[in-house]
Amino acid sequence: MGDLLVQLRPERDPLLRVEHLVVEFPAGRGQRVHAVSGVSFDILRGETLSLVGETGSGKSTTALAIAQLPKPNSGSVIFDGQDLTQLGRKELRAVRPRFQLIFQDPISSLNPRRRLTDSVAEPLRLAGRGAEAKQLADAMLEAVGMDAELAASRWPSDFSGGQCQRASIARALVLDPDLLICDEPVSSLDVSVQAQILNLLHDLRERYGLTILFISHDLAVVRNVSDRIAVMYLGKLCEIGEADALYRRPRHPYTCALIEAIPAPDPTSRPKATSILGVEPPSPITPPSGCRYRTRCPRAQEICAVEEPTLQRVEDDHYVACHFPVAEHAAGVA
Amino acid sequence: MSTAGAERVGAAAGNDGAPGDRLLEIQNLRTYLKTSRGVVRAVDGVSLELRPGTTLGLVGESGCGKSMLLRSILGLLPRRSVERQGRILFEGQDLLSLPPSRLRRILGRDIGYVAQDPMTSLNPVLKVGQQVGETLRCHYGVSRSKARAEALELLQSVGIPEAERRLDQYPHQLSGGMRQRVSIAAALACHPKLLLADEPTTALDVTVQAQVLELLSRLARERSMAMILVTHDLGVVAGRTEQIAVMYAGQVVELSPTSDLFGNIQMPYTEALFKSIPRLSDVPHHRLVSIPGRPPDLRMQPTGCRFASRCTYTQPQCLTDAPALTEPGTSGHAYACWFPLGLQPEDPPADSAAPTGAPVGPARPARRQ
Repeated sequence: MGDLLVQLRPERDPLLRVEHLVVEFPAGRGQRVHAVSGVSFDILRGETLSLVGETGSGKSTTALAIAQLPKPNSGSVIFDGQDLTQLGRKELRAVRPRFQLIFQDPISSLNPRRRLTDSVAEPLRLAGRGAEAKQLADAMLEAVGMDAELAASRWPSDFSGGQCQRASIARALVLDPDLLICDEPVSSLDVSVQAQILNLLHDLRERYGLTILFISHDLAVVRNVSDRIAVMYLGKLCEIGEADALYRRPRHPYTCALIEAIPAPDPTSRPKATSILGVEPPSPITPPSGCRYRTRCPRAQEICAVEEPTLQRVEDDHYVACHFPVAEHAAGVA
Repeated sequence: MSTAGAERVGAAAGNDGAPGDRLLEIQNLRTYLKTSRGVVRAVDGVSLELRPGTTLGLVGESGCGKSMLLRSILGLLPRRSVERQGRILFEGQDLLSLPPSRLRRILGRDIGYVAQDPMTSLNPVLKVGQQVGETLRCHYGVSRSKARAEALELLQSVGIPEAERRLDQYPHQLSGGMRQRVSIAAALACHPKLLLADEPTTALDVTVQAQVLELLSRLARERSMAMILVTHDLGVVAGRTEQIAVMYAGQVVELSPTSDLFGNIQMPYTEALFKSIPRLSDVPHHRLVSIPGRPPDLRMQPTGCRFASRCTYTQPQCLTDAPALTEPGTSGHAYACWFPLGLQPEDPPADSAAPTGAPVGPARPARRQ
């Protein structure tokens, strides 16, 4: 595993550096699910990195492994100079308030038997700041655009999905974390509400100087929030780079497929039938040899089955792991 | 497609259900739910028509009554607390007044239904093959082995690899996209004339969404099947429907041929939905346009336009008088708005990259009251 991690930027003192992260789960009969297989990336302070890929690509597992829920099988997660994987329970507990999570389903991630304000104030109570909990929780609820008075007397079932997601964001931010991990925070919301939440995250990031790891399966959704984008497929990084470059000049065939899958609100444009990924991703229990994307890739050749491509720099801060990257002008968004 | 809308708007209640070229004709449908906290007007006076083999996109936010409209057609509502008024003519027969025994012969056979979440709509303890063949056994009394053979063919036609092996698997052994394909196969088993698809791709990944939408379009084309495709995302229906109906607060607020709608949105609500779609062509850290507030409480007795409280163009008249769905031209494009957005075409999506700080809408000519 001594390969060079060209995509990392140690000289710029990143807040989070993930190196060779591996997460595997037992799948019975001696088999293992290779959920994340050697992923490395970093996030600078104040930067938003989006992790994009289909269901089963290991995005959420990566996010949870960063939060040590559970600890990864191997690899390191260096958060502000400390390797989280090496910390004991007590030490980890002391660092946890500095990174917080938001999940996909806002309604099930809030306790249905608790009033919203109580859910938002809970992290403060756990941190031993019970005295100021109510006041800070109210202020944070207002900051995410909710009526604190209403939240104090109502339960999650009285609110819409968008409102509950606001409350989840308030709960995550109430301890003033450095890193916010958002796991598909808008995937279960309506288009109109999705826009509200994305705008809110954008505002909060400016206001609190947050560093964000944003996870989504939809490249259009992360367009507005990301500085940098990492595309994952079956537990591996395929492409990582500065957001604008990646949209304009996607180089990995999988990134191109993800871009083309987005339905355009325009009756004259239909996705090309050929660009639609016809095959389901292979099982992460028995991932393909060589490049893991090769079974669905229109450009695959013999070498792809034999040799695994490593991330190579294609331009400033843009790296792709592919033997036959897409030509610069072939795809992308104007 | 062009004249259908005109007839509908003009004579919502007239024209006594001659089957003619209409497969489905909904006339002034009202579905009221009686709850302990008041009457919810989930569908409040909807009229729509669908010709054989055409696809209608039904678009709106959560809580606008889209799903309730579908369930009203299917009669999938609790019998006691629900009141349905109006008429739902399917091939000239009013589904609301048919006895249950007759209805059972239509639903599942001539009208198929695909629900949003394939995990909860499929029976977790029945094998896939049984579920797909079940409607055939019910409606046509075919033998077990015949149903199994048909199920195999159906699974193949919806693009399930290793269909033979899948027949004996349970839903939990399949991925989300595969499960949705199975529920589509089950809905298509009896060759329905009309397929009602309620957010069939909302629970799926973008890539799988593209596959499932393509599958639905292909099957509808091959089988000349009519379809109502419900979604909250205008992008989903843009390239795949003949007509689009936008619903808000239990009513249709804009109804138009798809080819006419996108360049010529009239209703501010449709425009707001359209603009809230995140686009690849946006510049990074560009502010998305969102719709402030949320859909109104359907228990309230509305006055004026139901969208008025969230509309950026509200005028005094909007608060007092409710606009009716009218079609001024002959293109079949109808809308319910006192101050429609006019004929100024919207920016095509490709050009919307320019950062805009303004809330909704480009500059438009000032409106007069």
